[in-house]
Amino acid sequence: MDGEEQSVVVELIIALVKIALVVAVIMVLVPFLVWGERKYVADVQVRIGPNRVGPFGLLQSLADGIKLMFKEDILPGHVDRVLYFLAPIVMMIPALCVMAVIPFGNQITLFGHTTRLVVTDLPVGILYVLALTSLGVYGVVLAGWASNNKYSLLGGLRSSAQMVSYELPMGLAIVAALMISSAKGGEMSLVSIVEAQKDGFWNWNFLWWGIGFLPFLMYWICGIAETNRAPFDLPEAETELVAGYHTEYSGMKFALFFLAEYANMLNVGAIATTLFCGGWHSPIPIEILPKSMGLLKALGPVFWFSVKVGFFIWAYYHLRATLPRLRYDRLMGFAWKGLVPLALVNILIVATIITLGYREKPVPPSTSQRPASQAVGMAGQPGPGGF
Amino acid sequence: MLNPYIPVLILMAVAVAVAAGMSVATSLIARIFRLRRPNPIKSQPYECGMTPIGGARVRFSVKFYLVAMLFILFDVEAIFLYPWAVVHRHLGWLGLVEMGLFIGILAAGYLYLWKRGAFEWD
Amino acid sequence: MNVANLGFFLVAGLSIVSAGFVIFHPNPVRSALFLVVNFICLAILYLTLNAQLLAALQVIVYAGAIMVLFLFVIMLLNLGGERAREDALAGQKFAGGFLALVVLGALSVGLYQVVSAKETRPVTDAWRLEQMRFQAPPGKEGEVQIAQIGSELFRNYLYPFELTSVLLLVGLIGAVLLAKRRLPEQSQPEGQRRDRP
Repeated sequence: MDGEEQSVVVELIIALVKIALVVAVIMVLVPFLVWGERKYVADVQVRIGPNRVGPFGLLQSLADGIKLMFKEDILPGHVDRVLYFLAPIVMMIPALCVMAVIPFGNQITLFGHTTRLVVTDLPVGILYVLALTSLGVYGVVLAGWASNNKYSLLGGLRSSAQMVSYELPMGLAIVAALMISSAKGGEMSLVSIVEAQKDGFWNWNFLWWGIGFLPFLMYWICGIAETNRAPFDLPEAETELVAGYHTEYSGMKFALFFLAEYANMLNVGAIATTLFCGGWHSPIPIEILPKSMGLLKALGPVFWFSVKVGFFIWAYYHLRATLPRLRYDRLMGFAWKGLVPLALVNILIVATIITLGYREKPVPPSTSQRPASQAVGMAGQPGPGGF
Repeated sequence: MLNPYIPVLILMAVAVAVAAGMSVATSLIARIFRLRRPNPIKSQPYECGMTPIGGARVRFSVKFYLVAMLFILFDVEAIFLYPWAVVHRHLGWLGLVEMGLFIGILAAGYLYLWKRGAFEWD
Repeated sequence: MNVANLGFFLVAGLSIVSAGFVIFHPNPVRSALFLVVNFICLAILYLTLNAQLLAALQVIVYAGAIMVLFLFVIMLLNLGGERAREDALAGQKFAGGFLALVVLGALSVGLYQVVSAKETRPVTDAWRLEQMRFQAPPGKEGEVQIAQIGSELFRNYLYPFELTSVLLLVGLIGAVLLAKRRLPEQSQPEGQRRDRP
């Protein structure tokens, strides 16, 4: 085994560790997210919420999971068996795979190997995210179709129409984000987009020229609609559609839909963080920890990333607790008559600003005099693809 | 250097394994603990306790078709915007004008759709 | 045969098998799903050619948008397993077989030309892009490709690009004409129609 091969093997092992970490974190986090949502919504509604299983009801979701595992495995007689079995799996795959390209920290050195805290840095990272998002609709359609139930079919259809309608302004908002970060030297890879937002919160994309806020808000709205969450949770409008596309599902298959939903919430929050809110960068570029505390320093960016994603998760909860559900015609009208033209106009405005001020210029000098590599660890290191 | 798509492939395999594993696990547990007692009423489609009326595979509204169709067309438009977003900084005013023209032609179609009521959900 | 070749043959085989299922599966929903599998396989094949942008667009447009429409149409028409087998047009099978032979012939001619050519020279734009990748610094291929495709598209192929928007415009109008045809409803007085919520 020569040196080249050896380094590839090492990289492969590191990649495997990161994949295991990401998948494990998502799977472990989801029960707590469910608990947190129930607790928060209960608090808003002046209820107590889960408080029996474990301290503060923390183990409630675990108990629910065990219950779901030991429930009777109902395979309704009228379903299309193969697709019925496949639909939750199809739903879950994109939800787990999006995290592959999201940088959740800067870089870390363990056992003499330095690696970026991202599973893989694809040169077309943002398109990879969009491709997976566009595949997310299949789980819903298939579940609705395979269940052979009117509620399921209607829920699946509504949901898929809603998802494709909001995917469009989402893509357009991402175009604007790409343009803004390209003005700062970013490219399509998410690592480069994060690095373009270094040195303080005033460099984050959503504050760019005052207009960055628009695509940020649009992305966030579309993200909520993509994940079928309140106030866009029409597919699961229990007053009219029972449970929408997963009416006929029970046990672990139902749990998979649930898991996918919360994983998708995490994804939307993480992408919003990455594209618009500076990714893992801290808001103020000040070093607190000395250089000798390498490991702890590497965890700082992870902390900031988690805080930002946590904010978005909180926003999900709060929106659910406070807003009523939209009517379906309003929902579709909002996407097609409101968001799409707004996104296109926004793109043209951003393009005009860039043409006026950022044409063919190299990366603008950073606002801080401090060398970038010191301020945020590793920002100056060579680019995508490296581990 | 490791091809950056290899970890994606591995992650997809892991995702399939996790999702399929969880689905299969229920069936296995159900088999071990004999948690499967189907009966004709239980396996009926759920219709709030009523006897189901007619099949579920009903023909549905053409509006869904229209949404999907319009989505494709605008999605193709968005596709052209991605490479443009990356390079427009180097294209200068030419890039802005040509994309303005592109979006403008489509905006004409968009206005026609609006007037025609394609975005009304009635 | 190395690992990369093995991967290619696996994916290529899967794409051919799934394409076969698209045609021969009696259930139209399954056929459509096999077509999705086929598109994803093609995207992976594009990746092996290092055409990353193309691979992503293949999934976004074909698998993510067009196939959703196909599924909608299949569900809209409520095609059962049986009805799909009926021939809608007389002589469809003959016409289909004939067209298949024509396509096979054209592909064979094209393949023969490529194989028999003494020197590889840029035949199509895709081929040129394929050559471009060798100029890219390692690890930056995707970015450079996108930038190159962008500057080609928005400088040298400006006219076709603008024509595309006209094509899309025609598509928009066609779609709305098909789906929003005003039926007897139109004969109602204007005021009554407006009143509906």
